This record gives sequence, structure tokens and C-alpha cells, in this order.
Amino acid sequence: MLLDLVQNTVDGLAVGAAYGLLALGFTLIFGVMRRLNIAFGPSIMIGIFAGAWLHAEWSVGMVPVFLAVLAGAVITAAYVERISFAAIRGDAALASMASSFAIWMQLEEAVARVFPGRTYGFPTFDGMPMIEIGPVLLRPEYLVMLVTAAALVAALQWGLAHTRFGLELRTLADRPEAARVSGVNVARVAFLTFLLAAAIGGIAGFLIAAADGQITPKIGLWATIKGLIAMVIGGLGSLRGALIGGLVLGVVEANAQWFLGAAGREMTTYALLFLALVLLPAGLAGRTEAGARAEAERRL
Amino acid sequence: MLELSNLCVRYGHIRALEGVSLTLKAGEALAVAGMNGAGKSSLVRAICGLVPVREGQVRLDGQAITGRPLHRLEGVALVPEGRVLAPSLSVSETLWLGAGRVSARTLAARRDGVLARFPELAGRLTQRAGTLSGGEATMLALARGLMAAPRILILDEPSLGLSPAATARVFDTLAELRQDGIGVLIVEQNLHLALGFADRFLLLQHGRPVGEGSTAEADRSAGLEELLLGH
Repeated sequence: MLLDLVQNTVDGLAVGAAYGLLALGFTLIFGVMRRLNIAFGPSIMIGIFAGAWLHAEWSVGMVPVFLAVLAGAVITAAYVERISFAAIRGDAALASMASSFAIWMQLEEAVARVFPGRTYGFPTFDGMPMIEIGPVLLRPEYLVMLVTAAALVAALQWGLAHTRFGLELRTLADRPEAARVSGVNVARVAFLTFLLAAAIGGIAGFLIAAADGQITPKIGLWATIKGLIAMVIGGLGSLRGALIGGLVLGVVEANAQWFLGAAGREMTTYALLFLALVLLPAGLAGRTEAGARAEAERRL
Repeated sequence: MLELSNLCVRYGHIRALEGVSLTLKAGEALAVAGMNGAGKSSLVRAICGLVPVREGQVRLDGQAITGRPLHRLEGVALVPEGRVLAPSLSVSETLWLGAGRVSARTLAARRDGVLARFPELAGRLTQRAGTLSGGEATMLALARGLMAAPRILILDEPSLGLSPAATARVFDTLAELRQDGIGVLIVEQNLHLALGFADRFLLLQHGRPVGEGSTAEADRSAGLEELLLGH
């Protein structure tokens, strides 16, 4: 049983890393715009279906498929941003959320019409051997997930700390008015953040689809739910929290699946969300950051 | 030179500014005075493109800049009321933010110049803005504005919440900036401070200009303080 627990935890960390990336995408948008993009998952879905179509029609390798997923997710996100966010006043968060929900329906309907089947194949990382760490086995695609997520988070952290765009993004997330009075082009930063979030989500979507080897039009809904739950568990607006939330969700799900079955996994997931909302409404990492920010703003 | 002609700002049906005109030359200081709700902050925000201008024009060195946001407003910097710093950014990052999109060489040169003017910030470059004292935070807000290498500096209530010593330090710095040819438009409730510092004044009441002239005249005008005190 202990070995099962360890094995499930390793698997859960890998899948949780991908959840963390989804939550990171949500968090970037929420942190900068203070608005939820419900169409985030469906944007990723469009990218995934673009990649699957490219593979099915032209039998291309993983790299072109990856680029197609990325391009599809980013272009769709640009469309969502223009329609549901840039065109709607900044303080009308509910209108943006409702609008992005409408876009979600639109995107899902478009995919359902172009791809009328229930399930489609997606290329996998074939030919990579299973990795043995003592008695624990690690699927190669899970290793790719872990390494990619770690590299992406490191790159994001570096970019946020050392680039002009990162500085402007952090300022906008911390205190939007400070960005405006400092001469930051707020609309441009918000748009680029949207695209960055979509690119991260696209990478997560590609990794998840490649690990499963099949996709359905419901993958957009799935990505939205997993990303949102991970973000809420970790703490709204906290990048660190998004990752922690994703990892916690992945580990809990993997163990619940093993010990309680598929139905038990879903029940456990929503119980975890409920507990997080009741016991830690600011999330695992959100509370201290929010407190520190409030303290700093009081001083200023 | 900054020129405003017949500027009008409205928030819905509320007339925040009505027919305000002014000029500000290089090295000159203009104090904008008035009671709460007189339209002083609206004036500042309208110049900086932070609120829409209903009528009138803003020109900088002859070029129309009406409604242009700060990121497209080269030559103008704002030190807003309450300083408005991002608490999580370090002093160094805040200076970088104020510089805009410039080359590394320009950034370094401006930073050296600003830190020479504010040596108290030089030792706190890695400190977060949210942990600075009120006086230091005001210095940082001023330094952030100067990182944009402005020809016109606009300050909204810079003495708010500061000790007399910190206030004196701010006004000493502003006097130096004027000598360097920077035009200073200052909104200040402390009338004696504002009139003592500026060459000219503009008095607003209910969004309308009700008095203007040289500060030397204002000193002799008994009516100015009465207007401000609402008598």
C-alpha cells in the first residue's frame, strides 16, 4: 500500500505539473486583469484540435503538432481577448466573464461541427522507455511533463524578474494605477499577458493530450475545470499558489483514483475544492501574499 | 512649453473642469490651488490622458497631446497624489519602471543622475517600495517621475502626509529641478508652500478658473485665502 501511495504520488505530481501550468495561465490573466477568462480551456482545445488535425491529415511529427497547438491556442486567445476583454470596460468583470462563457460555447460548437466524432487520436511520445526509480515507475511522458513544467516555470520566473515586460506585468498585477501613472501601456501588457497565458496553456494541453493519446471536444471544459480548481486551491492571483494548487490536485486525484475509483476521484476533487474554499478562501499561497500586499498598501 | 486652452472635463453630468487655460514654460513653476472638489486632480489627470477631455486642447511644445495617455506622452511625468507606488517592486525596479522603454545605457545614465539627486534611495535599491517611510516613498515617486527625463513635471499634493522636514526636502528638490529647466505644475493644498515655491498661481473653484496671476500678487491679495477657505 505504501508503494502504491508513492507510485500514485509520483504520477500525480507529473499530471499535477500540467494542472499547475493550466492554473498558471488562469492566474496570469486574473492577476493582471482581475477578470476570469472562462474561454481559457476552449482556446487550448482549439489548439489541440489543430494539432490533431495536422497529424491526421499530413502525418507530421511531434514538433509541427506542438507548434500547431501553440499557434491555435494563442490565436484563439487573441480573438477572445479582443471580443471579451479589450472591448469591455475594465471594471465590468462579470460582463467579461459572461462574454468569455459565450465564446466558450461558440468555440465548442465550432469544434463539434468540424469534428463530429466523439474521440480523435493524438500523437504520443512513442519509443521512449519506462523509467525505473527503484520500485517506482515513471512514464516517459510524465517525465516530459515534469521537466517541461519545471523549465517553463523557471523561464517565467526569470522573465518576470528580469525583463521590461515582466516588470510591467508585475506592476499591473500589484497595483494597476501605479502602472498607469508610470507610463505603462496597460492595454498592450494585458494583451501580451493573455497570449503568454494561452501559450503556457497550449503547452500544458499538448503534454496532456500527448500523454492520453486521444482527445474529445470536452477537453476544453476539462482544462477549464482543472485549471480553475488548481488556481482556487493555490490562491487567486498567486503564481506560486497556482503551481502548488496544481501539484496538490494532481497528487490527491491520482491517489483517489487508485484507492476509490473514478467516481471517488471526482468526489474527492470537489471535496478538496470545497474544503479549500471554506478553510482557506485565499488559497494555500494566497493568504500570506494578500496580507503582505495589504500591509504594504497601508504603509504607502 | 505646456499650453492648455479652454479645457473641459465631465464625469457624466458632473462638470469637473470648465474652460481652464494655462501655460507653463521651461523652468517655470505654476501652483494650482483650490478647495477639495475644485477640479485640481481632474486637471492633472486630464493633462496626463488619465481622464477623457470633453473640450479644449492640451499642447506640449506646440504639438497637440490632448487625451494622449502617459505612455505616449514623451516629456511629461506625473507624481500622483498618494504617490501610487507598486508595493512589491524594489526601489531599483520602480526607477526602471519610470524610465519607460529605453536602452540599457540610457537607463543607467538616468538612474545615476536620479540617484545623485536622491542619495537616500541609493542605499535602498533592493528594498521594496511598500516598506519605505512616507518621506522616502515620496522621494521614490518623484525619482520615478524624473526617470522619464521630463520637460514638464506634474505633482499632485506632494506634501500630503509628510513631516515638515520631508516636505522641505521635496520642495528643495523641486527648486533644483526648476533650475535645470524643468517646468513644474504643482497641485498643493498647503497654500503658503505652493505660493512660496511657484512663480504663478491658478485658482480653481467648482472646476472653473476664478483667479490667476503671479504669486507675488497673490501674497498681496487678501481674497485668495478667503476663496480657499470658503468664506
